[in-house]
Amino acid sequence: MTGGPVTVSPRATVAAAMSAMRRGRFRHLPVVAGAELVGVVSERDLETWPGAGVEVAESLADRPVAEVMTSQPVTVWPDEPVEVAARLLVDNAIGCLPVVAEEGLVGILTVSDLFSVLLQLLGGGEPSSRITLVLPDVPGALGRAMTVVGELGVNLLTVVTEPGPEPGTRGVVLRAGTINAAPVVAALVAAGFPATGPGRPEPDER
Amino acid sequence: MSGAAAVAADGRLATYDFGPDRPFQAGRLDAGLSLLRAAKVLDDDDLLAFAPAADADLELIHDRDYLEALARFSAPGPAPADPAEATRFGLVGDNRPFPGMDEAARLVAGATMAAVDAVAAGDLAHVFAPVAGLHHAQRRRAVGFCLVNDIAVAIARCTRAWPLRVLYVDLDAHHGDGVQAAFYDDPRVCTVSLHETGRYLFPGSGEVHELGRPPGRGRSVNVPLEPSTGDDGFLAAFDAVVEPLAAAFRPDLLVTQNGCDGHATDPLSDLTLSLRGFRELARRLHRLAHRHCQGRWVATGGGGYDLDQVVPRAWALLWSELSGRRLPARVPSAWLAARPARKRAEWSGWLEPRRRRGSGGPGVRSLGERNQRTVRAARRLALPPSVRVVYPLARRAGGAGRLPGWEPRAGEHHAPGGPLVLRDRCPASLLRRLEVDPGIHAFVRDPGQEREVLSRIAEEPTGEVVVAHTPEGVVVGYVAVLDPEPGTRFGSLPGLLEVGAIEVASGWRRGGVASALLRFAVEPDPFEDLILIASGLAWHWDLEQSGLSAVAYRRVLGRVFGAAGFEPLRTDEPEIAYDPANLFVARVGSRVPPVRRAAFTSRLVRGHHAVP
Repeated sequence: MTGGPVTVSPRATVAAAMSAMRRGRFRHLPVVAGAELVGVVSERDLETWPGAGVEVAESLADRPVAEVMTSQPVTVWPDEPVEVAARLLVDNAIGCLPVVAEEGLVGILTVSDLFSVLLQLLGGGEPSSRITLVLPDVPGALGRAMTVVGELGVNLLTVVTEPGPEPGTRGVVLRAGTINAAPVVAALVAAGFPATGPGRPEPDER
Repeated sequence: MSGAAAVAADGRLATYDFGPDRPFQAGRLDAGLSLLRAAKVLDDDDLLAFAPAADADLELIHDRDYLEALARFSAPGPAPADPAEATRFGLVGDNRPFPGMDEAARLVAGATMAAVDAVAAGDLAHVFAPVAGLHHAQRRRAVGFCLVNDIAVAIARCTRAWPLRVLYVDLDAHHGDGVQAAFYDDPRVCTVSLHETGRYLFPGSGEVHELGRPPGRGRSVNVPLEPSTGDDGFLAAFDAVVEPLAAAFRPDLLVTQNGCDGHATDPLSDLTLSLRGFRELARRLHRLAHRHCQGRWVATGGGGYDLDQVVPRAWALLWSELSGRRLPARVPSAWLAARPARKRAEWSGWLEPRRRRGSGGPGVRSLGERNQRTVRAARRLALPPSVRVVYPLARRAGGAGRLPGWEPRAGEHHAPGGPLVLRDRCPASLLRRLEVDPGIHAFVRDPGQEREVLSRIAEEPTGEVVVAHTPEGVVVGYVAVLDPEPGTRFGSLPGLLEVGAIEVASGWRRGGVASALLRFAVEPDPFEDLILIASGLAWHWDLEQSGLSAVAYRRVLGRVFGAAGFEPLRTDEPEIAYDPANLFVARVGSRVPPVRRAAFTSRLVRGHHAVP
């Protein structure tokens, strides 16, 4: 989340809210009266308001934010697990969640924040080799595959599993902290785990 | 030491050794240097002396606590107790500590420093540092066999001592991430890396959109290539990006990382290059060094893990190119006899790559669809439009005849520097009789080539070149109108052309030449049926020479286009939206039907992204 976000008062004009968003290069603003969160206004709200195009219509520019904001927005606690927040965003088809603690608004969580989390979960920010696997969805399969990697003394930065391409399978994405990943891929294949990665790339797609 | 080239290596570098079970091991040095000696292209006089790098040098790039850890883990005896510390500094796995590694790493950095210093000072033209090019090492972390970033240290030291612009070309199969990171915001060090895509391969970075951070934006260039790219594809990508980049950047010193781990038999990558490809790349780099850097070239060995078949031969080819000494056609038999018996059979006996029969030269067609898209994107982001026009990727096909014909015209403009003649529809024969002012920098520093380049543009089937020249026949400015690049947002719209380039020689700027040229260029009646677009990416602008800020430059450019009826437009096209100083303008002809106008407008903003 972004702590201490820029906010607007419900009495501020739409033009002021829009220019705050442009200046900060973000798309959502919590609307705060005193210490209390009363709504959220998004660039989308302003663009899809009847009569407003991409440019905010002249007539709307002088109206107070209170007239266009989403009142009583969905919020999360600061200690909510990230997957709960993600599900709230997806289920409600919204782009941000104000983070509210006992003392009031403490931050805002946006879809961009979740992408940063995704990047960390998938290890995309650190030097590493990517290896993908398809495993039978049975207890112990992942453990056996990881033992093969561990025995080579290779440090795994991230392990992510997802539903596999066929029913009864799990896809696994590994980020291995080695420049020499071909032996890891070869060892996995030799142990009966179909793996794709350096030394065994996908069929030529060109 | 003799001659204009030297090798920065000696037996001490064999101590940089992660052990026989690791791909990066001591045998590389001996196998490589002994072949050079056996082939009689290297003797002791060719060796450049060097000393281990000092703390003050390494601290230009690395943090002190990392260097202290390196020294601690380097001591012989039992490993220090804290495994978490080793992991934090990357001193595990690939970079498992070995006794003496601190001194070994300092020797590697010292070799590269000596090489760069000697070339920058003009003592030598070219130096080859074979056990060097540890391009992955980060500020406080060992990565991928790289304990210290010798290249970054040497460049940082050299650019501090001399006001040089350095072009760093990384041909290793892996992205040159550590060197890129070290100079990510530095406009005077331009890094370009051609590598296998990080989709699977280590280190995973090196995407086209890693551009650098202001004020160095546009000075990090990446060309991630598909597995199985092969020699022709790799060379085509090199030609399409590196040569024009050098023309645009105007470097004083070329530093290269010539990793040969892209070879088909290398265990660490899948680029499927061959020795023929490495030799061609070395030739191109050599030519580039002489054309753009007065010959100043430091080549480092980089990666390469087929120690028997590839590394010694790749080094021999590279050194032969640097030193101008001819290699014997066959591998010296005495050297071969000294190889372990089980390795001997693997050698084909040929030292020079054999000529491949029936192979045409590389061209863009040898790039597959994905690589083509990558190369086009890298060019759009890295090269100013004027340079792209001078170094076209391919003849633009299919658009011929979109620009209806009219009689060639001539006009005049009175600039403070003297009267100028404006001409459009210039036939190639006329252009061949004109000369080009040296202040037009898009053209390579190669006398004789300039006219050739101009006539080539004029011969483009859909291109239109308008020039401003003096009565004596010296071209001081030009405008090129072309089809927009295929695959871009406005590329497929009918009746739309792009002002691909506009340039005025540095001595003739601020005299209204650009405005006059542009107004003259769009005067002909057929332009009333067309939409013309033009875009400017702030990091392409010659801010250094013009002395303007990006915002001021944008204002000047906006006025030049405005005078010819172009209007600035807001768009969320990602390359334009990347930087608020970027400019997008269009001129919609008076007879453009409303349907076409609407189709164009609807493409300006696509998403719900914030538009700067």
